[in-house]
Amino acid sequence: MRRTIPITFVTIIILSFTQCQKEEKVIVPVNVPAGKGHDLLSEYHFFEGDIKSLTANEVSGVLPYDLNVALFSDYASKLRFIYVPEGSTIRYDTAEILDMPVGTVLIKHFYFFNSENNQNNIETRLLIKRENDWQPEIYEWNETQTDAKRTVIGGTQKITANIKGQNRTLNYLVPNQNQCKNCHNFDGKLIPIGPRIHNLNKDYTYTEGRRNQLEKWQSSGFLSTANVSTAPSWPKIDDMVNSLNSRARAYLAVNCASCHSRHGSAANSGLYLEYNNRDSLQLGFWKGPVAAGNGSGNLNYVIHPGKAEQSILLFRMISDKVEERMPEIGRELPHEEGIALIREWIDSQK
Amino acid sequence: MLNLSCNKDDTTEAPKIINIAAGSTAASQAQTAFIEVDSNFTIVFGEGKFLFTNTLSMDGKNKVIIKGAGRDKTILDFSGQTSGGEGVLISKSNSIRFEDITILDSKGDALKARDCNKISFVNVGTVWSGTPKQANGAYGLYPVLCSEVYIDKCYAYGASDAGIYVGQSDKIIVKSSIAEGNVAGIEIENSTNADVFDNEAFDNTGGILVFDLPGLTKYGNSTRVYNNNIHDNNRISFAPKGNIVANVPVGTGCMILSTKNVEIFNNKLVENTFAGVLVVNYLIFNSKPNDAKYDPFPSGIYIHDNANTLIGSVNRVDQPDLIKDVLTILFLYGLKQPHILIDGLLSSPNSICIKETSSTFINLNAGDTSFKSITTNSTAQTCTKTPLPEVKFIPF
Repeated sequence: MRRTIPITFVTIIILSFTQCQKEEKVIVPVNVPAGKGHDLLSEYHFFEGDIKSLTANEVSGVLPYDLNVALFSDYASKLRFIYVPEGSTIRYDTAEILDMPVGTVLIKHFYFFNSENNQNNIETRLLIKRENDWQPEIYEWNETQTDAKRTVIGGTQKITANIKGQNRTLNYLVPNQNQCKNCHNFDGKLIPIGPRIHNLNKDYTYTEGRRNQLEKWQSSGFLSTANVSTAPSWPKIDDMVNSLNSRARAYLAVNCASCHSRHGSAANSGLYLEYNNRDSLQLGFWKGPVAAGNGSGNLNYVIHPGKAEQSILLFRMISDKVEERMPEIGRELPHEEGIALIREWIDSQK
Repeated sequence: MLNLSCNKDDTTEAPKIINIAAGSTAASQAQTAFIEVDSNFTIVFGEGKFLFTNTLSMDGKNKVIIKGAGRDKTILDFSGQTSGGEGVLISKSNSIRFEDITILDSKGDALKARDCNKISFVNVGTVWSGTPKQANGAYGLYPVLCSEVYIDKCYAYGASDAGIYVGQSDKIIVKSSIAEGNVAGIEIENSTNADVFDNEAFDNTGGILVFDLPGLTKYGNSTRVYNNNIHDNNRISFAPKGNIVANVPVGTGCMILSTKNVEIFNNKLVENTFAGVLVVNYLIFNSKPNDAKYDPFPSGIYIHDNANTLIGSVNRVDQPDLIKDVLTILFLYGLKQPHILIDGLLSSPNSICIKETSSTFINLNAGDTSFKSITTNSTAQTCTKTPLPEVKFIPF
């Protein structure tokens, strides 16, 4: 749709002069600075109308999206958006994380519902694709929720949130720029984690209706043409149509393998949980802990086949202690649904 | 005689220093400096205690010095930490020196350097306060996947795994440091070309360990352990079970596990009541390493010219189960704890050479599970090997 609208150098174009005042459509192009990020999130114009509504500025190249399997972050709700510059296209690739054109911005927004059940926006993270690398930027929302301000060092916020009907207090960590890279690490370079075809291949409810995301990206000119009807897809963790093994492996791939791969920050552990890995020792079967400290939980094996309760992998998912829990950052509360899945999976192993 | 060249000084650049003073905003200032610092700068911490609630991290930097006012004067205190797997983390950086600072009570590891080239720790302390206990973090000084690692005049106390631990790294010098009150004092694991000398390791469960484990990014080779004072390493282990270090017998001076080419010489090995030097095969702990490329048989081990003293009696109660069994066997054969003990699981008898002026010896010959082949005869290991070369590099 946006490809039919010419972008001009004028920052604000007012269309439909002839129409009634109330239907005036204001088109504001996305504005991504060349160097460090804007001071305020609003300056990018990723969203239209009241920024708090987080409505994608679709006519200027921003689309909301979702993933089949998401990283768990203390039951934070997340909204994801992608901005692809006019005239640029992502090459369809099912082997790797999608290679995005220069100027692409991935936007991930984190919020909770507070004890009065109002949406409490916490932070919005950006990954901006530059010529040779990805630049992370983090924006913390102000108390009045009118905008979010750039932060380099993040920080810990004590927040109370309504999580599955219960008020819970937690130490929420807004990461610093180094911590972004701790997870988004591939051989020392910062890369995205989520956007791969397997994880994007799902339906999304757009303003015009429900549609497959890959089809939408193609019709919007975001994604190169390919037959998406045969595209691979990762199963949602509660989608019982799919095998227990594929659901568990997709969950581990998304929640663990960004660090636990030979290219990630936990390369030294020898525990590699990528979706396609078939090496049983690397997957943790009968594998002793490495550099785990108290993370071993006094247990001998990362995965003790058939015995989830004897497996370090499950122990570290359950623990809420700083020195024991996994992932190391971004989680304090246990993910009950993920734990149930992995428990069932380990118990089913022989 | 004075001011002969005063004009030249006009062009001197201002010293590139970022100062951080103790105070309520110090943690934010420090983290900002760690992210924004440019090459050739020194980040200077003043005297006092600096409180952190999150990992203090640096990534992708080149030529930076982080300096305190002294090991006893500048304390980075992580006792209130609510997130992060380590106190300080330095990743993917080149030429970084950390000096004159102590890191206190981190929840996980104290000072980790990952994927770094030329990483130096000089006069750095890593301490968990109080009586050493299992809840303490695993590693004190913890370079991993690094090269040109230089550790000098450091102090490590209370680690529930290893006080000074170098893993999966190449070109390593650990010298003139003190490790006490840890499970392992100093440990070199799956690393190549390491020199460990002039250190004092005491009151640990095991003094100095050279280990090789399966399933990691590289295998170990070529470590020299010499001129160290390794004494009284009889502390009851407080390692969380499951970790390989929990297998270390209480009372171990120096332990070699499966590594290739290790030379242990000119050390003082005093009152390590299980054994001064212990050489074992990984298979004795785990019969299925599940790593086809891993060779669990130690070889190229050369133990010579150490000064051994052992009068005290071994702790029989607080040992790992396997070691209790070993002690029972030694007791049944009426054998006293030796200076050098090997499990005898070797691919060739002279995989280990011993040339000591006076030392006692036991070979468990554990391949014979009836333990009838146990022997104090070291003739099969009486040989010499070509000394390993010195590890040479210019530290940052």
